[in-house]
Amino acid sequence: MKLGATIFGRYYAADSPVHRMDPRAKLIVALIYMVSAVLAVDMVGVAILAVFTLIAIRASHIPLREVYNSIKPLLFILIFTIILNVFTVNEGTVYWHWGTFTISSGGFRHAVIFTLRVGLMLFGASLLTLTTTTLELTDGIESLLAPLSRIGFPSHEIAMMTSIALRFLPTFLDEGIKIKRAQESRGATFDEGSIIQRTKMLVPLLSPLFASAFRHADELSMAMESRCYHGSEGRTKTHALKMGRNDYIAFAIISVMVILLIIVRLQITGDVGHPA
Amino acid sequence: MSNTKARMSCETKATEGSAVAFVHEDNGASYEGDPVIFNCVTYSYDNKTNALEDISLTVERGQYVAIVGGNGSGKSTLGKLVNALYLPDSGTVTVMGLTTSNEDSVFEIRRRAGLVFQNPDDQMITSLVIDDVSFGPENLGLPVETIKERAAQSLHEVGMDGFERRETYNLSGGQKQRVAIAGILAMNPDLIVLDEPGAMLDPRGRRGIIRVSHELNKAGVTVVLITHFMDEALLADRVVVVDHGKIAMDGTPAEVFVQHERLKELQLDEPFAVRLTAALRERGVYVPYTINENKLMEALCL
Repeated sequence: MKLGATIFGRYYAADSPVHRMDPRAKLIVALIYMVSAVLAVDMVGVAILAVFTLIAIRASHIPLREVYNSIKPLLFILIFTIILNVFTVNEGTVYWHWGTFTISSGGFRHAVIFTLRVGLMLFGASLLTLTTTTLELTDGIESLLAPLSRIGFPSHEIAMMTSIALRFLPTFLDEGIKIKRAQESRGATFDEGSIIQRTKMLVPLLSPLFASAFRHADELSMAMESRCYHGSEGRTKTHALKMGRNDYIAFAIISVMVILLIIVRLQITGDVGHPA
Repeated sequence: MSNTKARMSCETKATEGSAVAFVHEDNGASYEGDPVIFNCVTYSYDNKTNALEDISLTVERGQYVAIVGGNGSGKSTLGKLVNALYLPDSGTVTVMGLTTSNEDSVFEIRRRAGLVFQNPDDQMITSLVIDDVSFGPENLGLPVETIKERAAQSLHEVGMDGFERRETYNLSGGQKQRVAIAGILAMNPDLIVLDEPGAMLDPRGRRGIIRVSHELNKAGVTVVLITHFMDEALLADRVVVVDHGKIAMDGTPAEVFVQHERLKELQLDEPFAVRLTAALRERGVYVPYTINENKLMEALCL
């Protein structure tokens, strides 16, 4: 059960400047952070990204270990990036070659940079969910998308669905673990055999999980209805959103990061493959 | 044959109508008669077998009613009919003077008759306790200040002060059920239906929930407890036994639980005191029939 103590999407309660930020500001800052991370194409860029990510984590009063734990389930993405880069990039000294697959010095360099970049992006994204309750997130998304609802865009519904998805993430994780153990106790093995065999093993894991998800959805919708839920119309918003000093500071810091990244990026000849 | 008889009696009752009518003043809104009236209600999930058949049942104001029955007896369906989550195939369900089949009343019915479900996880809609308790009042469109007051008050009533900023996910099953009850209380209901609130809890959590339900009842809320734990039903004002979609027994706990042959027929466990009494009498130890553990103890000690 404790396996999912902190996972991606879990709120970590603390009183920090990051926690106190307006969710809208936090969402925008996170979005800028994610997009600008693409600018970090060499070690200097990645270092800048790392420094700012660490500043953000420091300011959030969340132990680094907790943040790391929260992205642990997603480490396979990083491993996938490493493999993809090592085998497909053909640059510099070529060590090994077979068909379209090459192992080269450039491949290793790319692997390191891309992995760090994706890793840092995961840290940043998890910081958003660690410091923001699902309701704040919902309110933030809803408020940011509100102008679109005038042209019929279901901004409230999307926000509500997001918040429920995040709320049920730990529940499903626990259930997945339970189902896995139940299948293991019947002699199933999940970590042996070829990729195809392992993929096949996911069926007895995922089908009960889906069945349970539908049951949860059915019961939750009844619980919501019985508590008078009827969409956004006439619904009170308890949390009034207000931008404050913390938010402006965050915008200032992220702007500095973007400017630094752009400067570094411009100093490189502009060709990603051949740094000066 | 027996089926037609039941229908006949139902039809006569229906023509008699609800004779008793008195007016309650509450929250500025008034309604006539009893908080819950089932009038010849039939409900089926698949149009083939009836989950409930010709149920006529009246819950009086301020009563603590336990509805007991085995698996598939239809007892949970009753709760969902009260909350207008299900609508009867035939007959009417009237809650606080409002008919559930009238679409315009559904909102008001759900506000005034709260429903607590069996699974504590599937009732936690948000991640934080305080947000979850506020969910109902927010849907009612109440002012922010009122919501805050009510949420704090409700959490206090279920003994969960200080849990406002806690995550619902990390609470125990019993604590989640208390939060669920607080979420209902925050809507200021006149009636609470608890649909097997303890079925997924440990004995301690279960006892806690039952204690809270009795405290609420003392404070004037009508309580309908749906359960398959007979010990929980012992403390109710009235016990209604449901079997195969029909009301099999209806009376005070003392009246219902002394009929242990009938209970056995219905495949229900009797409360501990009743089982012990029957076992003692079988073995030739004379003790009077009682549902009260203390009385049984006294009888044995004399």
